[in-house]
Amino acid sequence: MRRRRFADAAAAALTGALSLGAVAILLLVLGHVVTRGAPALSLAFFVERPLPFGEVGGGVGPAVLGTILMGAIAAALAIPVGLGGAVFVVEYRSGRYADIVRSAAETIAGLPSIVVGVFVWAFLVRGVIGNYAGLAGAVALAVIMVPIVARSTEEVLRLVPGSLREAALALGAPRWRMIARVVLPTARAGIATAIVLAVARAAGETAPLLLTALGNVYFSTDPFQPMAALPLQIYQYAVSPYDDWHAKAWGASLVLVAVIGTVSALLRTLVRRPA
Amino acid sequence: MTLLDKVTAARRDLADRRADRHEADGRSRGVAVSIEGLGAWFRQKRVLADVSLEVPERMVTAIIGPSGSGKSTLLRCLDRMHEVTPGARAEGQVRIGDVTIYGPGIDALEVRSLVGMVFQKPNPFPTMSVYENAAAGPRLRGWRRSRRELDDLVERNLRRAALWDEVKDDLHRSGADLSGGQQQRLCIARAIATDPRVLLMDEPASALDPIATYRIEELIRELAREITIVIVTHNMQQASRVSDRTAFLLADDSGVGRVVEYGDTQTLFTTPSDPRTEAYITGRFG
Repeated sequence: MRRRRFADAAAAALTGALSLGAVAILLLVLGHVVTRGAPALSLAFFVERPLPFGEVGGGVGPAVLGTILMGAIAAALAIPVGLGGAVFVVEYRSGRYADIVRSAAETIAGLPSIVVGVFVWAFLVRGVIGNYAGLAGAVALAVIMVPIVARSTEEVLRLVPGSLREAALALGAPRWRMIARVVLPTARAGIATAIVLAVARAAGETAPLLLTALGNVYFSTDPFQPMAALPLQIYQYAVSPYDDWHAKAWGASLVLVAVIGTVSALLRTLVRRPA
Repeated sequence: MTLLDKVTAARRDLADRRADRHEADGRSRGVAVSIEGLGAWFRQKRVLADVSLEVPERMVTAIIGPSGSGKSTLLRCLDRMHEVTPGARAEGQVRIGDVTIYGPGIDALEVRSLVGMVFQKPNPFPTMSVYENAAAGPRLRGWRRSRRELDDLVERNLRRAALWDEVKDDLHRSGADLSGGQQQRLCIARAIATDPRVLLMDEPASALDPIATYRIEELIRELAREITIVIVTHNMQQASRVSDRTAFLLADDSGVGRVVEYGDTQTLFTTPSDPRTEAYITGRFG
């Protein structure tokens, strides 16, 4: 009896200590980014374009704009595909084809993101579009988002009780209306989380953008021209030999974290609002 | 008088009223559901065979039997909900009114708009308010109704389900915030809001406490004035209290359920003709 109680206490202490580790990592990373990044921040840092080394000032304005633009285009491409795939697999599950859809999503999720970048480079940058372009970057990000949206949505759809589906069908609802009026609204919060997860992941991707969007020190909203992005800007600042640029890399990192945090918070409040 | 005594007395009263009504007009009714040679399968496994029953209209017909005897399957065959389970199918002739529900060219959605269903566990839609739950049937079928028509429909059916007085002050709170018994009455309101000819109830009170159960039973008797009700129940006292007719189902050694006996509830419970029925209702098995 005493031994069992001891073992229980030990297990609680151990898992408690380990969970502290997870919290500690988060605090360490966030704390570091905030303390190193905050000094670089100013209003100008948000709205101005980057300046060549030696000139005072300059900011990450084009990168913020580019990240938001490409993120929005990527989300617009990826969410319907991911959501549709998940709905099909869970709600219509016609055997073999559903398995193929699911394993395709899993395989894409396992692709290294640089491979996605190389593929989009070959297909769009060298092919259809003909030059580095924001649209190519958005497509690469969309490829990364699709499996995240699909897999997480699939999981939350499976959590919707079958009894609700039966209730809707027994009321004479066609399947599509059951999905639209009962299943999706019930899973709404979980689907929003899936989308937030995918957007956050894509917004932080660097490798696929190197080969597609390229980066741009000027403001550009043309999706067929090179476009700036925060991860690219961070990378550029960080690999430079200048202390001033290193400080700007930290500043840009903080901005990236803030952008992702804002978008997540926004999406979450949107779904929490009663229908 | 304790609450329990009250419930017991009320139940006795309910049974008396049922008996009176039964004797007054019991045998002169039409047939609401006619079942002939119905069989059901889950993939290769047969679970129901040779079911033939005639369910009289505007009466309560109970289906009783031990677990695994195919009661719920039989019920789900009556609104083509059995086939919703992957690999499940049914064969045979089932007529509801003049619709042969397994006939060629008959759509399952058509059948389900003739029949309402109430499940074992109350399952109001959690994202919908009380109002929206009560109006869910018309909306899920895509009926166009004005706000006013819907308001009327919601009130009328919440009244029919004996829930109106408890929810009228706040129709827009979530259906999931109600008590279990209220949730089940909301599900009944939802099921009858499209005016089905037949209401199927799959152990509608088995997740509820005795008082909530009593209210559901009372409601069943009330509704039976206008709707044909088929109820699956594990609880033999419940069957004898609420039903006019009872079917006793039993599975054979290979798990295939069949109707052992079907007749007037009183007769079946007092002088069963089959020894297996007698054994079951006296509690010797099951």
